[in-house]
Amino acid sequence: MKNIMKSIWYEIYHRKTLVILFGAFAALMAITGFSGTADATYGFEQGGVSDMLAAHPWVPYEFPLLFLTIFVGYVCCEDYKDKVANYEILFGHSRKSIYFARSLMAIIVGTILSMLLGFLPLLVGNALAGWGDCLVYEDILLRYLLLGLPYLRLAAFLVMIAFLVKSPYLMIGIGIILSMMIGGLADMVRHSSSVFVSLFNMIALTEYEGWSSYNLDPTIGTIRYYAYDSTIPAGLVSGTIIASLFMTAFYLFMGYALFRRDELN
Amino acid sequence: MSEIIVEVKNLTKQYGRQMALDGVSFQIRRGSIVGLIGPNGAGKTTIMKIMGGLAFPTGGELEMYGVTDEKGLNHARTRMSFMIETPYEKEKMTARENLEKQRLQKGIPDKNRVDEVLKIVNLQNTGKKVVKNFSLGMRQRLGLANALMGKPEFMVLDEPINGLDPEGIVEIRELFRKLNKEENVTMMISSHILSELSLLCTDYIFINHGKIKGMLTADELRQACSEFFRINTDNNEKASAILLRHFGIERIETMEDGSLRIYDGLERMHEISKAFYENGIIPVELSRNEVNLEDYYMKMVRE
Amino acid sequence: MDKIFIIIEFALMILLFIIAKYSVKRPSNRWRLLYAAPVFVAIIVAICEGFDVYHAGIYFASALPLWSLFLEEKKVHAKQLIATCSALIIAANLVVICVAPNYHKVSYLKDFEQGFETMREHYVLTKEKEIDWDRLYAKYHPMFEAVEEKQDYVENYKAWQRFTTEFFDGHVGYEMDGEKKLLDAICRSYGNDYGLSLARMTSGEFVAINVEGYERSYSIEGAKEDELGLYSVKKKFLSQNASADRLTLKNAGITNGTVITKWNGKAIDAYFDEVDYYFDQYPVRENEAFYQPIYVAGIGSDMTYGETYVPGKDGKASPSVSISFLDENGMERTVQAPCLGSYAPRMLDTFGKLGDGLNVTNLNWQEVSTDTYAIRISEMSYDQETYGGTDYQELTEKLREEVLALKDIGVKTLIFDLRSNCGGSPYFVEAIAKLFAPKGEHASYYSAVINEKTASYERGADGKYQKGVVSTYEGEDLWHDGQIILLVNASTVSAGDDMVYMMGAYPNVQVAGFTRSNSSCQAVIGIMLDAGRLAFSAVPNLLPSGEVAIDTFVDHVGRTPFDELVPFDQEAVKVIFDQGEDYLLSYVMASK
Repeated sequence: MKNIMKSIWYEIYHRKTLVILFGAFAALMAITGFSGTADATYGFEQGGVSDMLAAHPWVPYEFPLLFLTIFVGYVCCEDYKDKVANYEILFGHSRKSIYFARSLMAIIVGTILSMLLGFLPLLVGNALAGWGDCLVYEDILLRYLLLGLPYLRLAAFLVMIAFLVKSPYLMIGIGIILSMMIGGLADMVRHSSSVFVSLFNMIALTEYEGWSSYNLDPTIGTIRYYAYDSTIPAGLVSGTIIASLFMTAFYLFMGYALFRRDELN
Repeated sequence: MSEIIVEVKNLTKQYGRQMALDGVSFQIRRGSIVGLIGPNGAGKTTIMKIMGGLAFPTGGELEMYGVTDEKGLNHARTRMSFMIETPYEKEKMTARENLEKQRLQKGIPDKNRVDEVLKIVNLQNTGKKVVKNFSLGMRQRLGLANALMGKPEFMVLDEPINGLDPEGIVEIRELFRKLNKEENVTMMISSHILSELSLLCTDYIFINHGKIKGMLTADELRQACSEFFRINTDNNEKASAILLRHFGIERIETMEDGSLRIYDGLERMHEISKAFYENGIIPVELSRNEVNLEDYYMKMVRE
Repeated sequence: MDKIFIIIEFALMILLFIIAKYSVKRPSNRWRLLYAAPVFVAIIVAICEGFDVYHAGIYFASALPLWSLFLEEKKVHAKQLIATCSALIIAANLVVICVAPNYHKVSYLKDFEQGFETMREHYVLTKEKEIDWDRLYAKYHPMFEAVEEKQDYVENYKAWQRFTTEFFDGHVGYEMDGEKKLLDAICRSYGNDYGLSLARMTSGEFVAINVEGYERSYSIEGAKEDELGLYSVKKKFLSQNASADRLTLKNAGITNGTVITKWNGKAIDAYFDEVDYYFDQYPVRENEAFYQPIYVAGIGSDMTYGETYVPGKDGKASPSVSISFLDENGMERTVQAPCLGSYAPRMLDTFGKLGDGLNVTNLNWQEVSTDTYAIRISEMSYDQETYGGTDYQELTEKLREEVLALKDIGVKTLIFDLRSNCGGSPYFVEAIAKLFAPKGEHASYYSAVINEKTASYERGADGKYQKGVVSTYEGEDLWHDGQIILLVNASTVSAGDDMVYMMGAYPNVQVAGFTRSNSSCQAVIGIMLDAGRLAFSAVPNLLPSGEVAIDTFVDHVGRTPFDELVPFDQEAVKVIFDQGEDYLLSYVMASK
């Protein structure tokens, strides 16, 4: 298993495709952080990055989700595209070690990288405009750290799909569809038990209860005011942890069950 | 008798309604070079895939290095190497990078091994050229290099000389011979270039429509493919004695129909027929025959 | 969706049972995907419909076949056993779903609690309307508990209508999710149709209006004619002899304008206390009094307000009502009127006939006479781009041009038809009002100072909201030589009230109608609940004195200008319900 991981790392490092891709996503997230914060703080005049995070809750996961799908697709499918992955079996590695080497690497590294991307807008916005007082810093830190768990679960699900389709391009397509769906799904979340589906769990972790009101100004028109409560309910924490760990294990099991008797051409 | 390292018993592989393999059984002994011969779709690649673990048999048993369970077979494969269908390579990486990736995957600690195998297959000067820009022959060499990486005891190669120039073919043939003789590497090779196989293999397996059509050693095949005289007289027994006493021909085969077949002394046929006549033997048939490998192959696979 | 989910999973188990054997005869790499199919279906359903703990058995059963992937191909019986067990678990889960009382329970009580707490914290007229939140909670919490227990969306609708009526605020309202459910609830909440509505004339007498059997009476036979969109629902409330019964009132001699003396043997105003919710809100007491009789016309004999008979339900007989009336000779007679279906469609049709404005689209003019033009203003919005902003210059310029053109051709009177104006932007109102305001600067409202941290409005020591920014406009007095009449009704609300308030103060403007305007002008916020949406006044608009503008206080007295209460008399009834004409417009024309 270790050797398979080493060979995948070697390729990632030498091909540099993923490195460049990560760099591009990092730049995109930084720009998102910059522009989002500028917009939310009226050009860095009022408030801080917390205003941006409250107004645009999708920021930490919309693009990282796409990156995660691409990353999982690359790690799990790229070598199947040109059949180089067949050597793993031909060289005597067991199906178990092959599956878990790729899946654990995709899941763990993908989750870490996605979380890093998710934190970037926060860091950029904080550097430019400060935190502000819209949300409590410690609450957001906890929520963003917890975001790793639905990422883990989603990555495990994507790994299972990746081993079925064995096409990195199809995985990119799935990632694009997921990123596009996320906006529509935000409306569905009110009618769903949110922790049990990883996308809904992400939405639940990044949307904040609160109140908003407005005033009518004769020059500007409608001015909105928001008061958010960023405390995280204990139920959401425990639900996220339990659901994520359970479903991650289930998806890994299911993916292995499908792969172990898969005939490779 | 050398050790049996692979034994296949009644192996069956079915895809839907189609029987890709139908009760295939054979053995491979250590140190042999087995030629697997058959037309396209005969089942050669299927056998190799099952041996390699890429496919699973529908029935029968595969035993390699004395084990039949999945864990044992996986372990056995670590002593083997495979090159099935076209070589699997990362097109956007160089030859060195491809081999390095495989070295890491196999867990070979010696970093110099990559250079060694590149030299063996004569790809040491490809530099930064990516595999995408390789010729077919170069890709084939790279696949062979990959197969040699782990210093395997048993190599399973699917048309290894495909795409090589004549010089390359000779090089690879010599390499295989060297590996077989000096390091006792066992090989299973499938090829359509029968003449090449005949220069290399110690055993042959003929396969068609998923069934074994014949298994021969090299000697047996040579025999089957040699020139011979077919002799039929009114007294074949007496004729046989004359051949032995007067001409010293020892290798006389009596066929099922009673006729005789000799492989030696073919240039003295005039003398032989004169001797028959002088001894009161009336020759009914004296014909010169020849079986070449292609003919033999066509005959085997059509049966 | 639940049934489809269960059927699909069950069908997949049957399929897996069959292919367990078949896959041995016809081996293929693809069979293993079928063992994963139940899980994929479960995942899709969980995403679309949400995770449901009552489906736990089905989720488990869908995952069980994965175990078959670890069995050899030849283990047919084991695989079939797994498929069978899964199918049995699904069947057992189906039984659980059927008997579990809490399955797919709609959280009506949670909705009420969430809505109530939000209103308690953010409703801006608590002090002005002297809202006793504790009393309201004590009264309505048990009501919603009962609704939750029965899982009855009709009772939920009624409970919310009762609750929102307590506020006498045209901006407090609840809308249930699901159009079909909402229409059904409306049809079941206002009683049955006995072929007429009731109204109170200015003289105090109660009369029949919108009576069945006459040319312009409400009677829809087909979906095509159903402008209210209720046909698909109201159909099921029709009793068997509905068409034959439709002439009962006409045959008895009840027409539009017939004086009705008793309803089920009681005076009509004796029912007013029983009518504890309305379709609309009537913050002004006189407006409420005008509309109350209409609601009484749905009450059948031995039935309470809102109780609605549905054919085939509960085994009850079709209700009727005894109607006592004065015939053409002034004698009191009584007729037993049968039920013709649900009263709600007739009721809404009656509101429409009483309240509909000019038959032209928003901001379009209609010539009434050589010196009078009327403009319909049905909502205070111009276009998508301007709504939410403050720049209505284009509107002002367009209207100025039109008004000056009318002046040039000798028009002396402008009528602004604000009937059933549902509101919109106050800046739209200013953009129009400024053209007709006396010269000089005019202030419309002050916004209230907001606590940005809590996004709520705080009162000062004097109990008033603190004044923020004022909105002003410069008057152009374009029509100083002429007359402007504003036509209003009880559904002229929000920014419609704003226009009445602003322009009603101008010297050459008169406000007229059967009723005053609604008197609700605080800005609204809506909150989403699980089963609907609750809206309420959440942003104060203040007068220069710091008082909230326009909205009625606990005395329910209208505070918008109102100059002429148009009498609602026999003539009005005949013109509106017999001739189908715009009586209000004719009246103001005649009296100007």
